[in-house]
Amino acid sequence: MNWHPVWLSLLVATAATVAGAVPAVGVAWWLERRSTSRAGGAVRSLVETTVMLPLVLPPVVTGYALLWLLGRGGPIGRWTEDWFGVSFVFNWKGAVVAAAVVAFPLWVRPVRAALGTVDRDVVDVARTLGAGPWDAFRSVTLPSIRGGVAAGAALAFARAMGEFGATILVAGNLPGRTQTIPLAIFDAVQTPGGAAGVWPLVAVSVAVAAAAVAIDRRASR
Amino acid sequence: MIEIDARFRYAGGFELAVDESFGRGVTAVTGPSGVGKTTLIRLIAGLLRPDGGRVAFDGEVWSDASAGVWVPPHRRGVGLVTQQPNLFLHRSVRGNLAFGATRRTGRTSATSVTCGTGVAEIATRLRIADLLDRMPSQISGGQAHRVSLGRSLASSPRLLLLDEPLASLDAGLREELVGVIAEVVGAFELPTVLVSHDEALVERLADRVVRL
Repeated sequence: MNWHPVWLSLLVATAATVAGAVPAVGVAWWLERRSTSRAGGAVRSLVETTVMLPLVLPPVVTGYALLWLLGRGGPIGRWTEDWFGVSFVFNWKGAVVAAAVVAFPLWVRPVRAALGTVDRDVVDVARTLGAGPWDAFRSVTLPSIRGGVAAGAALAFARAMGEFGATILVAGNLPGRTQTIPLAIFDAVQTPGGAAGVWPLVAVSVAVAAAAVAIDRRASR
Repeated sequence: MIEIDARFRYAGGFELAVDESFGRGVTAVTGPSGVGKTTLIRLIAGLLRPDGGRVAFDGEVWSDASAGVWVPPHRRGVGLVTQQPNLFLHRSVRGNLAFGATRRTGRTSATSVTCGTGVAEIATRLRIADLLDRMPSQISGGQAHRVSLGRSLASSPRLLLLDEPLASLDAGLREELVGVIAEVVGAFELPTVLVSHDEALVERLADRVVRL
């Protein structure tokens, strides 16, 4: 049994979840604040749509867009290559980016829902008690959205574990290098007599997904 | 002395314009609902930004739209007590009381009347000293209101803003809290702005009444 896909998937999903944390909380906070303030409008709709898009787009389409952006000569890829010597195409880092982008909407949604239940008046009291905006966020808002953050992290992690379409386009399907669990299952099923090796991978996938759903249920109560 | 000469435009287009100045002691602000009493409190606290005009306290300009002056709420040193206790649910009673006290630095606490009054003394005075280690979910509604009042006093405010502090309490608790508020406002000699429909409270506390 080759366990490399399992370790790689855990690494990729962990990295994608961690990388998404600050942007997800930031975007959720910004969207939630915009939706209650006097200003609002077109910019918010645009950001909201862009953030939620990977949830409904075919992952292959998201993957193709990322491949174009991050590829050699792409608008972002050229820049990361020239300045940092980092490429995100056909390596595990590409798998992380693909997983992070596809999982991002699932990261944002529970956090935003939790932020919607935070009592503005309590935050206001903290401000009058001497807490600056960042201090009030950290010491009052953040502790009261812990459940939403846990749910977002769990769902994003599970989604990242299962990423297939975007990953295969950006990172490829290179055994021992970019072959995550879903890609390994796909390969095994395609190989005559290889289907037996699928079951441990299926078991890991189901276990992670079940754990994520359990965490989401607990945290959203 | 609070001087406020400010305009605030609501999302619906309604505009509040106030031009008042409140001296030392307790000023009660009354008027029909919807006249903008809470808005006035929030303009003074810095939780709303006026669209025009000026807010100043003891000669210090807190907000001046034309001069571009803006002091954010956490640098004003006001104590705000509202209808709901609005306690920090993830902190113990002690943690709630200490929240403002530990953030006192950076304030002009030298001019603060309650400067030096520790959390313990305030807790004793408000009769919540035996609750310090409890969480907000483990205390009663009346106790929560006293913690809320104590929390603002412990932050060494220069000015106390009471916005319908009793409105959510039943008659018995209201009676009790009127006494507590009268006692601490008297003891700390804080300049206070009180918004209340409770005539007993207004009668007992207010040195003057302003009608909006």
